[in-house]
Amino acid sequence: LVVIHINIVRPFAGLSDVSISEDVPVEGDISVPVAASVTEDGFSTLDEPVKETVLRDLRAVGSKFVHVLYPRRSSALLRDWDLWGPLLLCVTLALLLQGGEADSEDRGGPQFAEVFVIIWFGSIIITLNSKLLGGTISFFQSLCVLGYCILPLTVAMAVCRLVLLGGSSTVSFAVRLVVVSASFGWSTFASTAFLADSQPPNRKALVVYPVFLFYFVIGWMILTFAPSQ
Amino acid sequence: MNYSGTHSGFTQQANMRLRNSSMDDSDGSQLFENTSGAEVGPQAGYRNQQGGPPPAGSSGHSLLTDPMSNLAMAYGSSLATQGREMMDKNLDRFIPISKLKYYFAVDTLYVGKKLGLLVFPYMHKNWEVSYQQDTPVAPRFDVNAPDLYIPSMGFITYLLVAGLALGTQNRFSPELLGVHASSALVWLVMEVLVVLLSLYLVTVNTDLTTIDLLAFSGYKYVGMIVGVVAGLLFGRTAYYLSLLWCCAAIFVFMIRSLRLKLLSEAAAEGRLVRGARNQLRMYLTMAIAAAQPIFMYWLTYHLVR
Repeated sequence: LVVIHINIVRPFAGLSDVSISEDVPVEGDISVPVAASVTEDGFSTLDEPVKETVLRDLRAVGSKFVHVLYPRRSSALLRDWDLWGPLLLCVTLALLLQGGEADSEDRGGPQFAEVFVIIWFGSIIITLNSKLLGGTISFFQSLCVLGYCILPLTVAMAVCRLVLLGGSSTVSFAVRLVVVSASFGWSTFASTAFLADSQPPNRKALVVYPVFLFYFVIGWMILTFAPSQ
Repeated sequence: MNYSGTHSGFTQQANMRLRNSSMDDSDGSQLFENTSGAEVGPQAGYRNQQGGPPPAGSSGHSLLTDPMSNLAMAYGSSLATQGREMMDKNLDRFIPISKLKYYFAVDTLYVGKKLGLLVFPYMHKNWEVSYQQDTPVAPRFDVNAPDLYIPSMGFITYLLVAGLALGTQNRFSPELLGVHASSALVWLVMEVLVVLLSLYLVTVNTDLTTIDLLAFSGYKYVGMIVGVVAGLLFGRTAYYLSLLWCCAAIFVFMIRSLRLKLLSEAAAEGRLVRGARNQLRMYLTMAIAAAQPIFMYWLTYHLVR
């Protein structure tokens, strides 16, 4: 049984908190104020220069990056979700993983498409799992959070490539291991700060586990990357 | 809900409209728990309510003051809501989302207890699934009820552990992951189909659904993962020992769980009941349980060298 409060223009103000069940047809009048002149306040974004549009989106993406780097309990990532940031990160990570040395007969590192598939399919599976467990987060919000939290791993990938420029020895492996583990922990912590809030407390661990696996796979791909000589 | 909204651009209003309907998930469902299919109905109704007023209210600030465009926008958004409802209804016909939600109504305690049961089922006394007025109780409240969280997570973990095992032997490539995934999936589907066929042939009157069978078949991944991880950490003998232990455990688990579902009541209680039908059912139960260790060995032996 769901109780819905509907605020419709009615002559009796005292009826404003009447409970109506959802199968009762509701009628009323809605007056739409049609303004004479509209465009001065910048309500329309069709007329603004392209640079402004791009900059505004970039600023939104950038602010979400900051939220990921310093994960606090804020709902900014959830409220204004967008998928530009995850796409950017995914492409960057896939590009950085190119040029690996051939491990088996004819295979290089993970192909560009494989990284994409792993990231996006992994995110979709985690989102489905979270929704089936009864989460209150929507599909795209969850995709957005998971994508944005790849940022620490992408940074670690860039650091690894720089370290590998100095040759691949045990020292460089140890450094890379530390960096990748730290960023893996950071990613998992950041994403659970957002995702676990949407679950009741006795199910948080169940949602965190696939997220842990997901970032583990990405971290594993980063760690085993070896540049071709 | 704030219908007047913040008027800071047409695109943001469109996004507000979309997010209003997606914010229902985070605000509206605090009122009720999402563990059954009952939330599909009220939420659809809620969303319908949301789809009506906002376009009419905010369209006064759109860039076209033409009332026809207001009408078109209102119609368009109501079309979108209708389309989504229709898609939900049709999707529900093919993939029963509401039934799936039952199998995911788990919590950490249940998962912990069930994993313990899968590895050590010998001390557990009561294997019956409790019911509540004809419907089985959610897995959260009964450790004997089958769930789909453990099998699906087990499947994914098995794939990753297989990739890891192949990687330590320098035989890894990302497409091998895909090959493993599809072959394991095919084996699972075939096993479920064979069990369904044999249940049909033996004409067993049981309330085991296909998803139940899928869940039971997916429980063996836990044992496989334990075996492969032990083999990776401690060598081949550890792999064989732990696989043996897990095979025995899953054999006992399956027999005790399926016995109550497949055999007649008298036979399930342990009394000796004569008759060809009960014999057949017992053989069927034993065959299903015996197939699990075979699959466990088949799918893991090439990972530990």
